[in-house]
Amino acid sequence: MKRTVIPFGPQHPVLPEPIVLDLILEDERVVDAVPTIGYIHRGLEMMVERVEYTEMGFVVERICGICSFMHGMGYCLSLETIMNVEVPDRAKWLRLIWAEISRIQSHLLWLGLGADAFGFENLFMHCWRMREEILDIFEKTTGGRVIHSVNRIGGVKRDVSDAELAAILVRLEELGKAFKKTASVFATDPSIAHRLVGVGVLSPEDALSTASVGPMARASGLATDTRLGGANLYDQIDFQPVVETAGDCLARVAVRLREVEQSIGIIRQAIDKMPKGEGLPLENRPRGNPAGEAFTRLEQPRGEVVYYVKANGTKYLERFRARTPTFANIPAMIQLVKGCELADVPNIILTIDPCISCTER
Amino acid sequence: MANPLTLPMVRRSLRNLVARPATRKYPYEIRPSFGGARGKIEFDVTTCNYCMLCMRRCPAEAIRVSREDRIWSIEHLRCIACNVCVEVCSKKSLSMSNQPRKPQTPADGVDGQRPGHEEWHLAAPDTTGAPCPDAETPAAKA
Amino acid sequence: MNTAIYGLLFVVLAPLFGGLLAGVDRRVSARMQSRIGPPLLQPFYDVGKLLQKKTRQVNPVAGPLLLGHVIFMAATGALLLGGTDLIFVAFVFALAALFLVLAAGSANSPYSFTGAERELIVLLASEPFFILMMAGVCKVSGVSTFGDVLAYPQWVAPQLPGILIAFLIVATIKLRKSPFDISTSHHPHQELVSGLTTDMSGRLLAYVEVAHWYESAILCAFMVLLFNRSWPIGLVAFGVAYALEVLVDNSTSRAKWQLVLRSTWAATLVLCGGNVLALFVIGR
Repeated sequence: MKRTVIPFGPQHPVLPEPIVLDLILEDERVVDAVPTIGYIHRGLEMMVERVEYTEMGFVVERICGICSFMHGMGYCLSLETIMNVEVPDRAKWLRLIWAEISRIQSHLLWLGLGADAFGFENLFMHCWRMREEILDIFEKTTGGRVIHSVNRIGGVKRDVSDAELAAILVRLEELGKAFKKTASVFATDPSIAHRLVGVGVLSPEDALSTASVGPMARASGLATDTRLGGANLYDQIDFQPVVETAGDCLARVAVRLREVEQSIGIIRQAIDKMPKGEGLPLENRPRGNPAGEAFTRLEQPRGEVVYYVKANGTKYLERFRARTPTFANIPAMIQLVKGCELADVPNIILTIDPCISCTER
Repeated sequence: MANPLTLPMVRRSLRNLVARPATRKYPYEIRPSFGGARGKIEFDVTTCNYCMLCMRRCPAEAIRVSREDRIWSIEHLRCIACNVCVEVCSKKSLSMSNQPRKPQTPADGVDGQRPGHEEWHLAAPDTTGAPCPDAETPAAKA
Repeated sequence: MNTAIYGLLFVVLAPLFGGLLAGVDRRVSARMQSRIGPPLLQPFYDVGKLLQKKTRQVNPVAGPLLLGHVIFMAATGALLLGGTDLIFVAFVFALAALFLVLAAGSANSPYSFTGAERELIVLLASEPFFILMMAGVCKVSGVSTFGDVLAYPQWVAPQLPGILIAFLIVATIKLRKSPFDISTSHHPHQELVSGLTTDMSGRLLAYVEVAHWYESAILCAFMVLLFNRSWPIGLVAFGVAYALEVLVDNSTSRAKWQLVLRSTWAATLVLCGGNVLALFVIGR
């Protein structure tokens, strides 16, 4: 049979970011896919050698606009480990709350994009409308909608008053109620089921062998979640990872739908448990230059991210590396794309929630 | 699970049709900024002692300070509004306004200067100094 | 003589009607998505802008083909109102649609080409429908031109229930509405970018838009044909059908082509074909 090669990307409207997948088609069936990355490599690992470690945090934040808070947090955590800084309690709790809010934000963004990929414009608008409110919360508390710049090595720069936190919780719970209705559309609409059920099924064995992370692995029945390790105060939070077993595109949507509600629950617990009061210490600024190395693992909205930082006692770091969740999920994605139909390709690619900027740094 | 005859979005669509829209007519209608929002850096030349700490700590290298020429300048298009200069300023000459800057194009630059460039200088080394008559118009260096 | 003037009037007025309809569509869609939406005349501004833009042609044959697309769309309406045989009108309509497919297929891009293939798939289902519809109308009324059918003293619609239902399904294809907008999309965020129109720009895209306005007007005229005794009722029926299309467009995702082919063929063959067959069997 005659083979057609469709270049999926580097500019493709389904993904606002550049990645190339050369899709080799027989009729409308994809028989092979060849990924090429490297279009937006920004050389962060080289840059770290000439940007002071105190300033590098602002660069790391800009790896990606969606997980910007978690990137900044991961970088600061690594340096805090190297420099043996004890972060004040309230700062830790604030970080946890912001991290969970950014998870909600990321999932809403993704659910909108997913809806758009299968041609459901109205649902896309609903998800993004809700995300705007989450961004408003960010702007009120951190000062920025996308790039928050509140993380510093040793703590956070801004406090959020207890009254404001209570107000945020009320708003989030309202949003959560409204979100339930949107979530039910994803779960019950027959035209969505037509596009997602049974599409791109990743078996638990394949999820394990391709080393998938995050919602991708959890949708295939693997209960992996870096937060379960208990670091960054998650040991004080009562939660169970959201696991679906079907492993298809709809399962990956369902995991994220339920994680939005789970995150609201985590924020409620955190606001409950954090030390209250005005003027509590937020920052423990370290002295001198870092020396040593550290690994940090965090559960980003897209899955596990790993930061490696090596410092040599000068104000410039020797090595900084971020292994982002998208990078870990690409092998599974390629496996899923093979054998599917052209119309399913955007859905499969999107359900891994790819972030090419993160992947290439 | 999915009944092919139910379309859950139909009711939402119809309800939205009569409800108020969630968007506004930007740029004719602008939402007021939130109190803590980081909009743009504002500089008060009367209190600055030219310690140059802001210049050294600025991660984007947007601030230039020259003690000899008595010039303090900022490239707003380079500035990432991270608030570090405000945090380090010992004289509280710098502040963060919650009003974002208006969008600019290269055509908005005056006298061949880049848009977004703001510059303050003191007329003589020992006067208290004042900002340029028009803060957006960089005065030519004498 | 008189009917020729109607034909000319169609050529002049149909783009205004179609453009306004598109404007209303965009406003109503926006409100269904709880947005304010663009100004009512936005489609005209868009086409005006497209005409000002520099046109890049991937294949020089695309320009004449798309011009043919517009001209034959206009001609379909002109012939319909001008009193030509209805079956002939249906064929010209199919020809007009074919020009777009040829233009899209002439471009070298895989998106455009796959879009053209998909458009052929849906044409395969929608064009027989129009021919069968005309056959049904002619059979019921016993006359074969637009004016004569409108002058026919009895309603034709009650005898064509299957065709009325199938009209809604086929109109979804023709108006390029979700779930059947597989070959193109007003919102090009899908597997085929914007399918058919991916490689069209500037003046060429303006042709496609204007041809689409003619197409909407032709569909409206077809609806009037089905509600032959009173054209205001026909217009209202078209308005209701269009509102339904917009509502469904905003409440469903895009279907895959297999489902589109199955459901449109079911509509054409079972509903429409069955209807016409019944007319011939019972009518004799």
